[in-house]
This record gives sequence, structure tokens and C-alpha cells, in this order.
Amino acid sequence: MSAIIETKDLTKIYDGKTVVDHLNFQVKKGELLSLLGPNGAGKSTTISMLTTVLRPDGGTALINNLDIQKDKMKIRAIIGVTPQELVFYDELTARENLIFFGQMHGIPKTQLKNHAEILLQKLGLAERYDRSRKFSGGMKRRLNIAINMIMDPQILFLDEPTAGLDPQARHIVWDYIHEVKKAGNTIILTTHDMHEAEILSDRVIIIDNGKIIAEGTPEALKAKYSEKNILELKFNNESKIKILQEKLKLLEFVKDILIHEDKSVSVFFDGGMLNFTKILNSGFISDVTELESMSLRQNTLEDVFLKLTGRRLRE
Amino acid sequence: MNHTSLDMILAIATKNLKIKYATYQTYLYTIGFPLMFTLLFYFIFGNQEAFGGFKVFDFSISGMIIYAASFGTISAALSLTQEKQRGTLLRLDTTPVGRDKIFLGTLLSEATFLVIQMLIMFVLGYAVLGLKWHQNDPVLLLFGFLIAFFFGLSTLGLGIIISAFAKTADSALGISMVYAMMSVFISGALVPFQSPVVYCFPPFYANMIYRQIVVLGDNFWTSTLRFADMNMTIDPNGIPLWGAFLILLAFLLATLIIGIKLFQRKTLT
Repeated sequence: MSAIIETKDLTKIYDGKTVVDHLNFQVKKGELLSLLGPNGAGKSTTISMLTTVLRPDGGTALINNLDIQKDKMKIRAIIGVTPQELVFYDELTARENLIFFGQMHGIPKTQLKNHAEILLQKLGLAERYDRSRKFSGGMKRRLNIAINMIMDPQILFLDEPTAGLDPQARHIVWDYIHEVKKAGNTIILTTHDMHEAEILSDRVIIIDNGKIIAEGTPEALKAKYSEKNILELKFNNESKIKILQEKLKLLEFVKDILIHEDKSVSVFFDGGMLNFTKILNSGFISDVTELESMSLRQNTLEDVFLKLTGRRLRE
Repeated sequence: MNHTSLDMILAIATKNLKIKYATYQTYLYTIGFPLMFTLLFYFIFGNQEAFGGFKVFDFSISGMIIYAASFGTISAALSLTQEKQRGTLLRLDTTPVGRDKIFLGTLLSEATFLVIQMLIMFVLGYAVLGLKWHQNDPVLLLFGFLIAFFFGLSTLGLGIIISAFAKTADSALGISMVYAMMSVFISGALVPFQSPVVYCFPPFYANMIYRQIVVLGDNFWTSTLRFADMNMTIDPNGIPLWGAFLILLAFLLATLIIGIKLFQRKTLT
């Protein structure tokens, strides 16, 4: 399958600081790629350059073989962009917003009316005829996405599409993204929600400080960079944590131990439940009276990020 | 310009008018204030005699109309600053519409709103309050309408300049309001004011052209302006009426060109 997006040393510098640093990646047609990283990693800046609203300071990118600096208008005709913030006219109704932005893509109003109704139905906004300033946060977020879809873009850029949504609204958006992807559209998603990236993405690129630090399918990244099982321990006192760390290191199946600032410890180990019981039976943990909570979980992309950078995504 | 481009411009203009319609403050600033001043001045000066069978207020209405038209600065400044502030300008930049159509759509909506404002002021002044003008000639009144409209257009460029710098709608409103009020008062358009400084403000020229042609029946080619006093005495500086029109035209073109260039420089990354 051919690449519909290709970046070549894409770089952006703000006030002497390189916020996007020689990014090189490709996106295949019909693929859903997530750019995953903490706030300030350079995800949104990358999206701004790919969507032609921000001029790169170095390198370039091709969107459907069109150069982002030379063919801006042609690119804008085939992309849809949902910004991180809620950006529409709240003095207008949802229908009026959809039709207006559709017209901005050159689609006649008569064609837009039917499409707008279908979209509003899908996103649960069909019954709302009032001005969108009266909508709830979730409804506004859904309208923010729907505006993009009115022109059925070949490539859809979604910048933190579910930020601030309640779980129900989040699932509506996820279902919709699945549907768009099923229809063959290419989607670039930025998020710092690991769960979202895992369940939606074909492929994930992890960005930190403007650089790509890992790239692959969610499963491949987890397999490559993190043990499958993680024991999370939370203490109310940090005095014995170091001692515990030294003791647990003696167990050969414990691969890594990370101590966090919030007095919690992540113990990465292989071997599944059998080795979990070995840790419990070792007596090391029961020796520590300051233990507040303990949980066993499987690894996520958050752990991949943690392993690669030593930081949590939201730190 | 092809059919699609025209559709886009019309869609932007329609959207802007819908937003104005939904924003109640707009009515207060752009229609409420001029109406209030017109009625206030009418009740104070309505019966005072001027000369040639005219009353003082027959001359004053031009100032009221110019005052209303000068709110184009506020309206344009608010419209574009809000577009920046809420991020819709950036979102529009990701569509194929282009800035040229955004500006044309904005100018079209402001011009349409200006026509509505002018109609309200003319109906109030000439139909409701029954003010007099030269031989009650409808052609002169139409000319007056066009001059007021033209002056209103010339205020839009300044609004674009303000929107290039203003970060918020509140600051755009504040800056443009100060300019609009100051220019109308210092130019002597609203109340007679005799000072060389009046020549620095476009409302002076618009007011003079209106009064001389519509109320006094002067010719467009008249070789001199009259003083902005109630006797309309001859101004020895001798700027012809058509010269005053050229000054307005130059102001319109200069502010529009500068405004658009500044706005582009400040908002394109």
C-alpha cells in the first residue's frame, strides 16, 4: 500500500528551541496512525505543518504527493482537521456550522443539507435546533468533529479528539472514528491517552521533545519495550522502597523496577501469574508495613513511554 | 471569479450577519447609540432656526448619519478579532477558502449591515422626523445615502488594522470605540468644532460633502468646502468637494491595503 503522507526531516523551531526535530515517517492510505506523546512533545505542531497552516523551518512533507509548502490549496481540498480546542461558531446551530464549513470546501449548500442530517444523526445531535453555545461539553466536542466530516476528507487529522469527554461521549467518538476508518479514510490522531491510541491505531509513533522515540503497532511496541506483567505498589512512606527494590532485583524474572515520585513502584516481570505468586511468596512485600495498595496489570503504551523516557506521559 | 468562489464569499457574509443578529450588543453599539443621539439632538435642537428656512437639525442629521456609519470600524474590528480569538480563522485556513475570500465575505457582510444602519437613520431622519433637504429632491437624498455608505466603507479598513493588533474582542471594541467617538467629535461632524485639526479626520469630509450637496444643493464640482458652523460660511482653505471625496477614497484604499497586509502579517505563520 502506498504512502499518502511522507515527512522528510520535518523541523520547526520556536524562539531558538527545536520543537519538531527532523521528523521522518510515512502513513499508508487507509491507515490510522496515532502520534502519542506528552504535552509539548511536538504533536500539534507537526499536525499544524501537515495541514499547511504552519510553515516548517526545515524539511518538508508530501500529502498525496503534494508539497505542504507549494500546494497548500490542493492539500486543503482533501484534508479535514479537527483542532484540539472547540472551534466553531457558537452563535450558529449545529446544522448551520456543518453547512458553513462544507461550503468552505466548495460543496454546494443543496448537497450539504442531507449529509449534515446524516452526520448529526450519527453523532446524536439531530434533535438540537438551538444555537450551539447552549450545548453540553460532549455535544460541542462531537460537533467539533462532525464539522470535519461534512466534506468526507481523504485524510482526517484529529488533534486530541476526545479530550475532556465523558466515557459515553468518548465511545460515540471512537465508534465514529472506527466507521470513518472502515470507509477507507486515512486518519492521523494525536493523543496522550494510551488506551485511546491502543484501541484505535493501526500504528503508533511515540514523540518526545520533537523526536520520534519509537514506532510500530501497539502490540509490537509493548512486546519490544516492556514486559507484559507489571506489579504496581503504592506506599505511604518511602523509607523502605529502596530496600525493597534491592530485594526484588534478586528474583531473576523481575526485569525492571521503576520508582516514581508519588511513592509508587512499578515492577516489570515476565512469566505471568506463576511468577506473581513467587513475588508474593518471597515475603519481600509483606515485610513492608507501609504498603498502601497493590495491583497487577498488563502492560500498556504508557509503560512503553515510561521505559523509553523514564517519565509518565502526563508528567 | 467562479461560481464556487462567489458561493464561499456569500456563505461567509451570511454567517457574519447571522452572528451579528445573534449578538445583542451589536444592536446597542451600531444602531442604539446613533438612534439615541439623533432623538436627543432632535428634542434639544429640533426647533432652533438656522438660515434659508432650515432648522439647525436639518444640518445636524448628516453628523448623526456619519456617526452611525463610523461604527463600521468597530464592527469590522470585532468581526475579525473574534474570528482570530475563537480559532475559526485558523480552522478556515485549513480549508481551501483562502484569505482573499474571507476578507471579501467580511467586507460584504459589513457593507450589508451598513446599508441596514443607513436605512434606519434615513427613515428616522427624513420619514419620521420630517427633516428638510434641498428642494426635497430624492436624487440628492440618494446621493447623500451613497456618500454616507461610501464613508462607512472607508471606516472598515481601520477596523481591519485594529483587528490585526487586538488580541481579544474586548480590546478591539475598546480601541475602535475610542477612535470612532474621537474622530466623530473632533472632526466636528456631530457638534460644530472649528479647528484645523478637523481636516485630519475623514468624518469631516463626509459631513461636508453631505451637507453641501444634500442640504444646500451645492454641486459636486463646487470649488470649496464651507466651515462646519451653522452658517456654513466659506472655508478659505479652498478644498473642493470632489477633493474631499478623493481624500475619503484615498483613506479607504490606504486603510484597506494597510489593514489587510498587517492582518496577514500578524496572523499567518
